[in-house]
Amino acid sequence: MNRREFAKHIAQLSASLGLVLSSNGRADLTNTAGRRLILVELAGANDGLNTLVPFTNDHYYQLRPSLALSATDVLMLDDDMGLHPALEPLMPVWQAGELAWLQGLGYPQPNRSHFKSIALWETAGDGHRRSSTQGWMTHAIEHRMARKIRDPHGISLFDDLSIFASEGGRWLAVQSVKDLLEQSVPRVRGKIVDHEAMALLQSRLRVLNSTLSNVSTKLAGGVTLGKFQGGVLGEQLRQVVTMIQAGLDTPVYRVRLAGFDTHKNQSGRHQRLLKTLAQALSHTRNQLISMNEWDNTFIMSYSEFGRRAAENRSGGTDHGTAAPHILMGGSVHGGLWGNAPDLAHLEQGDPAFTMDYRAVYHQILTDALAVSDAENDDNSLSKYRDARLQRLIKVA
Amino acid sequence: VLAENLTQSRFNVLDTEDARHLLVRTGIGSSVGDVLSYTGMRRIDAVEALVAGMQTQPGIPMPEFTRRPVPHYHLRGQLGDDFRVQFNRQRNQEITRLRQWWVLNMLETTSPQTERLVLFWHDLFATNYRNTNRQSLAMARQNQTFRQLGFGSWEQLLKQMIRDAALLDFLDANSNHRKSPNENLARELLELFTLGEGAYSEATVREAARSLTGYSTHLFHNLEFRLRTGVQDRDEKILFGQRGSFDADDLVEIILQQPAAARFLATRFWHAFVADTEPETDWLDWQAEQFRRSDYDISELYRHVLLSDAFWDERYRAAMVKSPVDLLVGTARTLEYPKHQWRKMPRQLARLGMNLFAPPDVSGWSEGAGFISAGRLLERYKAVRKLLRGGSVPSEPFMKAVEDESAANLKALEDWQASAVYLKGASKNDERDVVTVTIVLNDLRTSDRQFSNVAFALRAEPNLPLQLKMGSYDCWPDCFESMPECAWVDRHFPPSKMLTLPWLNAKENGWQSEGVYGCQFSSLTDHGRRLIASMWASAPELITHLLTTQRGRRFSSELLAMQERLAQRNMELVQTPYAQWATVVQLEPGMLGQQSLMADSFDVQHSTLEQWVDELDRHSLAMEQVLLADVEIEGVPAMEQTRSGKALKRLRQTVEHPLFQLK
Repeated sequence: MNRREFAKHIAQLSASLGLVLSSNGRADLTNTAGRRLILVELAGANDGLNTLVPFTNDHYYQLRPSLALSATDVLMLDDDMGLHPALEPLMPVWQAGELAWLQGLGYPQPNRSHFKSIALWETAGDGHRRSSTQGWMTHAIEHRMARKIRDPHGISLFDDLSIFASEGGRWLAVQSVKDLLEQSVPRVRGKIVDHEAMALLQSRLRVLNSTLSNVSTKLAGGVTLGKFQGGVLGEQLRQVVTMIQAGLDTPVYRVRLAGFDTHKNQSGRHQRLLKTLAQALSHTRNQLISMNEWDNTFIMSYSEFGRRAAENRSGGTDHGTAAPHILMGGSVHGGLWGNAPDLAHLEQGDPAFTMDYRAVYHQILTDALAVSDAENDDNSLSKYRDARLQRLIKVA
Repeated sequence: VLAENLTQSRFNVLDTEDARHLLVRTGIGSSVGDVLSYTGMRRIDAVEALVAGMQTQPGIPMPEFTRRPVPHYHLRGQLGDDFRVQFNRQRNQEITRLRQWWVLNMLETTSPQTERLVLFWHDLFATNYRNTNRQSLAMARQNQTFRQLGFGSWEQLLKQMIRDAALLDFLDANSNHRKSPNENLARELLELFTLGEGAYSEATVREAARSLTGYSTHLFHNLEFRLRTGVQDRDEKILFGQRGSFDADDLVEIILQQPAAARFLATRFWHAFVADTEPETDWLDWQAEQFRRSDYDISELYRHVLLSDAFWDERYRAAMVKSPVDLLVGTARTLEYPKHQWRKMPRQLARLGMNLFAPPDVSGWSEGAGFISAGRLLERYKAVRKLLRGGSVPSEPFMKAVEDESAANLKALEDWQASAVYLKGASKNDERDVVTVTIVLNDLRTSDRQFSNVAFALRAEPNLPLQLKMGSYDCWPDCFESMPECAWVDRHFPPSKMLTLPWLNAKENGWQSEGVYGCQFSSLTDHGRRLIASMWASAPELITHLLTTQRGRRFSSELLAMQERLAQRNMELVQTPYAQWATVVQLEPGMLGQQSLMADSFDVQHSTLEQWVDELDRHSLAMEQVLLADVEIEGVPAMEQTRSGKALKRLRQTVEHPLFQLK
C-alpha cells in the first residue's frame, strides 16, 4: 500500500466511523491540503440585474421593458430579490445556507472596457490607480500562507496567466490534468556559482520541477471522475475536482465561462449561460461534499463589470458597472450580503456600486485562506475591509 | 580619435561560436548560412556588415489598412454603442494584422538586426495600443519611425517621438495644457526615455511638462502632429538651471546636454546586447563618452557596443534570458523552419509575456527574470516543443474530410484555385424550412491573395434571399480588399472576417440588395465580387461533387435540398452584370489524393528539419554550435557534441538544454 492508497484507506475508514475530518491540515491524516478558492470568471460581463433580480422594483421594470423577469419567473430568495430561473440548480445551495450573494460589487471610476476592467479585477485596481502587474492574491499566497505549500500556488484551467501574474511563485496554466502530467522541464543539478542568468534559470527550473513532480506523484493513478454537468465549465471543474481528489494542495484554481457579452438578443443566451453555470457549480458541490472537501472549498465568481441598467434596442444590454457575485462553500454564511444598487439613482445609466469588490478579496484572503493581511503591507487589501462582511466566512 | 581607445581585439577573427554569438545577440536567431558566412570575418568587418545591412523600410509592406484613410477617431464618442463596438473591433483586427505582419517580417527579413533594433525602441518607448484609444494606425507609424530614425541621430529620434501620435495619446500629451499641465509625458520622457530616475528634480518634471504643452495630435487631420499654440505655455521655464521660454524641442536639446543622457542610452544598449546584469562602470563611462562625442549618433553607439570587449567576453555569453521573440521567432529562423505557424506566433508571444504593441506598462517588458516565472517557463518549453512538432496547417475538419476521402481539389479557370474542397457540415430543419450547407476550401489562391481556408455557408430560409456567408482568417496579405466595415466579425483570436451576402437581386440593382446586406457587397472591389460570384455559380457543381463523397452521402438529404433551392435561383444569375465573373469552378478529383495531402501538409516540416540537420553535417557543424551559447558554466553539464542518433531526436534534446533558454 503506497502513501496515497493508505491515505484513501484511512479516509474511507474515518468516513465509515463518522469522523469529521479536520480541515486545517494539522491533525489530518487523509489530506494535507488546506482551504482553497475556485475563481469562476464570467467572461464578457454578466448581467447582474437579470441574475439577482429586484423583482419588486418598479424601476427595474421601466429599465427592462422586454428583458425583465417577473415575480412569477424568478426563484424568490426573499421578499424583494429573486434568482433567474435558470439558476434553479443553485437553490439547494441557497437553502443549505451555503450560497452568499455579494451585491453591488464595483470600484470607483469604473472603466467600461472589457480588457481594462478585467485587468483591474485581476490585479485589485480601480479607475484611479494604474493597474498593478501582479495578480491580486499572488503576493499574499506566495508569502503569507499559514501553511507551507509545495504544490502549485494556483492553476488556471484557461490558457492565460493574467490573474496569476507574478514573477515568483508557482502559477500554472494547463488545459487538463493530463496536460499537467505530460509536462516536464529539464533538470539542472549541481551548484552554479558564477553565472547569474543560469543561476536564475536553475532556481526557476528547480521550483518548477519539484512542483511538477509533486503534482504527478499525487495525480498518478488518481481516480477518474465521471462527466460533470454544465458543459465546458463543468469539464473545467471536473479537472479541478480531480486535482483536489488527488490531494493537491493548491490554494487557488481558476476556471472560465465565456459568452456573457450579451449586446443582442440576450434573453436566450443569458438563460443558457446561467443554466450552464448553475449546473456546473451544483455538480461540483455535490462531488466535493461526497469527498468531504466542501467545507474547505470556496467558489467565487467575478466578471469585468455588470451590464447597463437599461436594456438597449437590440434586446440586449451594454457595458455597465456594478454587479452581484457569488461566493459559495461549506464554510460560507449564505444570504444576501451588502445592498442592492439603487436603481432610482443611476450614474451615467449605471447603478453605483455599493461595495468595493476588494473588500471581498480581503475577506477571502484573511478568513478563507488564512493569509495574514497585515495593514502595513504595501500589498495589503485590508484598506478595503468592509465591516458588513465580517461574518461572511466561517474561520477555520 | 576613437580608434585610439579601441583595442586591437576589433581585428580578432570570428570562429563559429563568435559568429553565432554576434548574430543571436544582434538579430533574431541565427541561420546556418549566416553563421558560416560570418565565421572567419574580423570583428570590425562583421559589425560593419551588420551595420551596412540596416534597413529603413520593412521587407514586407505593412498591412493594407495603413494605407487607407484614418478612421474617424474624433467621431467615435458620438457613435451609438453598436457602432462603437464595431469601430473598436475593426481597430483590434488591424492591430492583429500589424502583429502578424511584424512577426512575418521578423521571420523573413534579411536584416534581423533592424527588427531587433525596432523591437528595442518599441520596448523603450513602450506604447500600448490599448491605451492609445486603439490608434492602430498610429502604432504602425511609430513602428515606421523606429525604422527610419532608429539608427541615426538620437536627438532626431527624440524630436520625432515628442510628435508621435501614439506616444502622445498614450501619455496624455493631448491634455497637457498651459492652464492644466499633465505631467505624464514629461515624467516618462525624463525617467524612462532619456535620463533615468534620480537625474532630475520634481521641479524639472513640472517645467518639462510646461515645455511640452501644445505638442499634440490632430484628430481631424490624419492623426498628424499639431502644435496647438493656443494651449502652449510660452512663459519662461527653468530647465536644469537654464532659463528661457523653452518648447519641447528645446527641452530635448537641454536633456541631451545632461551627463546622464549618454549613460542612460548606453545602459539600455548594455541590457539589450550584453547582459541582464548591470554594466561595468569603465565600460559605461567609455561608451557614454564616445556616444556624446559622436553627437549622439545611434549607429556609433551600436558599433562601439558591439566592438567592446565586454560584448565578446566569455563571462557574458548566455548572460541574458531569451525574450519570447528570441525563443519563438529566433528558433524558427535558426531552423529555417517553414513559416506556417507565423500567424499564430503573435498570440504565442503574448502567452509567453510579450504581446507586441502591448507592453505591460510604459517601462516596457520586464526582461530576464520576468520572462521565466514558473508558469511562463513551462509555457516556453511547451511552445518550443510545439514548434518542433509542427503540423498545424490543415484544420481538424479538413483532416476528417481527408480521412473519409471527401476532399477533392478544384480549380477555376485562370482566376483562382484551391487544393481541396470538402463538406464541413449541413443541416435541415423541416419545420422552419431552413437548409444550410457549409463547404470549406483549403489553400484557396486567387491572383493576389491566399486563404489557408475559407468557409462558405449557404443558407436558404423562407422569405429571405438565399444567403452566402463566407468566413476566413489566415489570409495573406489580407482577407478581402476594402472589406466593408459592416462585414467585420470579431472572433477574438484568430480574427475572422465574415460576409453575409444574399442571392443577387437581378431585377433591381444587381448584387446590392437592401438593408444590412447591401453595404457588404457594394463596397467590395471587383476582385472580391468575382470570387463570390464564382463561388455562387460553382455551388451546384461543388454540391454534386460532394454528394459522391462518403461524408456527402451522410448529408445527402440536406445537400439535395440545397441543390433544389439553388436551381430555382440559378437562372437569375445569368441576367446580372456579374454573370461574366461567375466562372464555374472545375473539379479535378483524384489529382490530390490523401497521400499527397499528407505529404504537403505534415511531413514537409519534419523533412525540412532533417534537411537542416543534414546541412549542419555537410558543413561539419555540431547542432550545439548553432543552437547553444559556447560557454562552460560550472555545474551545468555540457552538451555532448555527438553526430549520431536520429536527427530529430538530437534536435529535441538540444533545445531542452538549459542553455537554450539563454542567449
